[in-house]
Amino acid sequence: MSSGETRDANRERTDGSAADTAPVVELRDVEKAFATERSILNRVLRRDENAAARAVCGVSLTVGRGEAVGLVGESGCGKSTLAKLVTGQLEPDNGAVLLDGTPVGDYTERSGTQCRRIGVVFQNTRESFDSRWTIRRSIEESLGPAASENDVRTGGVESLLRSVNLDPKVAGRYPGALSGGQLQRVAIARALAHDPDVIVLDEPVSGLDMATQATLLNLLDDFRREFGVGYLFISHDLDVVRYLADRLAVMYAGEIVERGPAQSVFERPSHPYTEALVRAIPSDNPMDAPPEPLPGDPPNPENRPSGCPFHPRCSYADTRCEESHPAFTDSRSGASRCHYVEAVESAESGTETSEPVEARDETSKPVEIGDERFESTETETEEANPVDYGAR
Amino acid sequence: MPSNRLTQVGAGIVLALLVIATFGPTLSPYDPAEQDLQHRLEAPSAEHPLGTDQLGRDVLTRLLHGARLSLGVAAAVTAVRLVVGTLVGLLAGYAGGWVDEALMRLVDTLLAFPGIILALVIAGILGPSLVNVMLALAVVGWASYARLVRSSVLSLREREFVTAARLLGRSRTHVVARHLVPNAIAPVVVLATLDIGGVILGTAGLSFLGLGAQPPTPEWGTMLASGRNHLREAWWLVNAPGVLIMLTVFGFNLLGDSLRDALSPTQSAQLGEL
Repeated sequence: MSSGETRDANRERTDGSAADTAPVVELRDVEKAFATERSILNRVLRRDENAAARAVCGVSLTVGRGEAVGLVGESGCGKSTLAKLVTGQLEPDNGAVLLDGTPVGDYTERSGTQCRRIGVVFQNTRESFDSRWTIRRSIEESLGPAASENDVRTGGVESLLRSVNLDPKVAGRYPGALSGGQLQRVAIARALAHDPDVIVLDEPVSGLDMATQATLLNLLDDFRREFGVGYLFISHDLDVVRYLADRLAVMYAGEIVERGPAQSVFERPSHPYTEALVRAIPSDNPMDAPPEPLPGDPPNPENRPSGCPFHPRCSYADTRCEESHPAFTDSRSGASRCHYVEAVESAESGTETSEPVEARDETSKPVEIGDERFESTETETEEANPVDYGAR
Repeated sequence: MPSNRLTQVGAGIVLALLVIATFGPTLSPYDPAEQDLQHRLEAPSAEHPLGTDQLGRDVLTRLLHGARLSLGVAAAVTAVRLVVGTLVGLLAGYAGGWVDEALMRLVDTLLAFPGIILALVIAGILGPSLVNVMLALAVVGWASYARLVRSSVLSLREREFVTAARLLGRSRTHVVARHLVPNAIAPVVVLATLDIGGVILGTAGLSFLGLGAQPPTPEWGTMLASGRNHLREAWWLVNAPGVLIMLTVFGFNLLGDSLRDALSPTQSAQLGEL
């Protein structure tokens, strides 16, 4: 752990003694929308004048040193946009991105030192390497100007490669000659090379086999303990996130709907969306029923539902959800952006007990709440029962 | 013919030309400008394998000396086109905005004119000389390089390895010099190889029209022009340089085509549009 101490000492010099508690990266109510093309007809009719795909809406998030923050959500929910806001590839329309408490702009406005505070492992690893450059050259490009002593990097490229369990000979090869798993390790080595405090990992293990995934996750876990590097770990795979993350943020339609310690959010979700995500994980036992997909489609970011964005797909939803957008409410596991946190929580604990009849009794509450809405159609009334939530 | 065979033929012709241009002039016993009026317009013989011209000069010797000149001119013009075009393309592609807009409209304008006509006008205004022809040909030819490089840069700058370098705080110069240029240069080299043939034709054409090299310079186009007056009595005067020009252009085009095929299909599609 000597290298970790050295790094901490270095950190104190620049950040003061509060280095370990203060977040390295902080997002404050960031919003990002992308302008969309309007059809000629719409322009003539002056329709949809405000049409913009709102990818990220009012997200606050912190990542500190040595801390792994997991970010999960469906495809298209704004995870990657959020990652780009952190790295500076995008600039927020509203809100602020803070690095060590200082607001920063996009990467062109950040100093070299600021840029190197954040490491990036890209979603498409192969694309993130220049195919004409050897691995050595790619990693050397990433090496910071002042490598601290006792660092894994004193040994340069070779020692970095060794630290990700690769043969140092790989340094002389080109990216095309490496397998996906090898290249992903090189990507991690490259991200470590400039001694960052936080690494943003966008789907770092998707597309790899289970064994390779496990190796990589173990490596990442080791580096966190060894170097005190923090992670913003983005994945659609809850299982993967659960393995690594201390804290979990669940994203839906550009906003964080639930946050809290990873293990408890995973075990006792307090937001209907998280609950559905957890249910969608395939079981290890082939005899179990197949995982239940979430009904409906993710919302169109250009035309977000009123009120709570999840209400069209939510079995707990009622008119209140259609009308008012819930704020964060404290839950058992953390905080959840749902009007009916208690109902979801009790539903969860209900399903965890083995007797469904009992559970039905316990969870009669949301059905009552939803009376107004669920009277409209019979099928919806059925769906409203949380026990049957995923039974379709 | 299989394509690797064509590559060999193309490479063979180009290599032979390079050898001729380098050592040719020393092999010949004659002086390219030495007149021998007693032996004018002699048909090909053992003494003069390609005959003599209207002033009794040995045609083969003049062709050998002309090879050095023609290839030198073509290489220089192509190099200028390549460098200027690449720089303009890099600037337009990477800077974007109004810089891109202005440069690309200039490129469009240049591409709208038939190159050889524009070169004719420029060389005509500058006055007849080989240097002016080179200038004219360089001015009209860089536009397609700029287009090609710009389109490569536009797609490259969105690639993640460029983003990766930028996110490390690396400068624009670093990104352009280390990532963009090496990745964009391959199709440019192909285009240049294909272009050399065109430049040789252009130089010969303008010289044929009297705008380029002036007699007694042994330039292929000039030889063609002066041989034209004696077409009926001395066929070898036009045929020898004519066939040589054709072979040269053919060789460079074959080589360029093979180089293009050796690159990825997307790059050859890009070049095909030019």
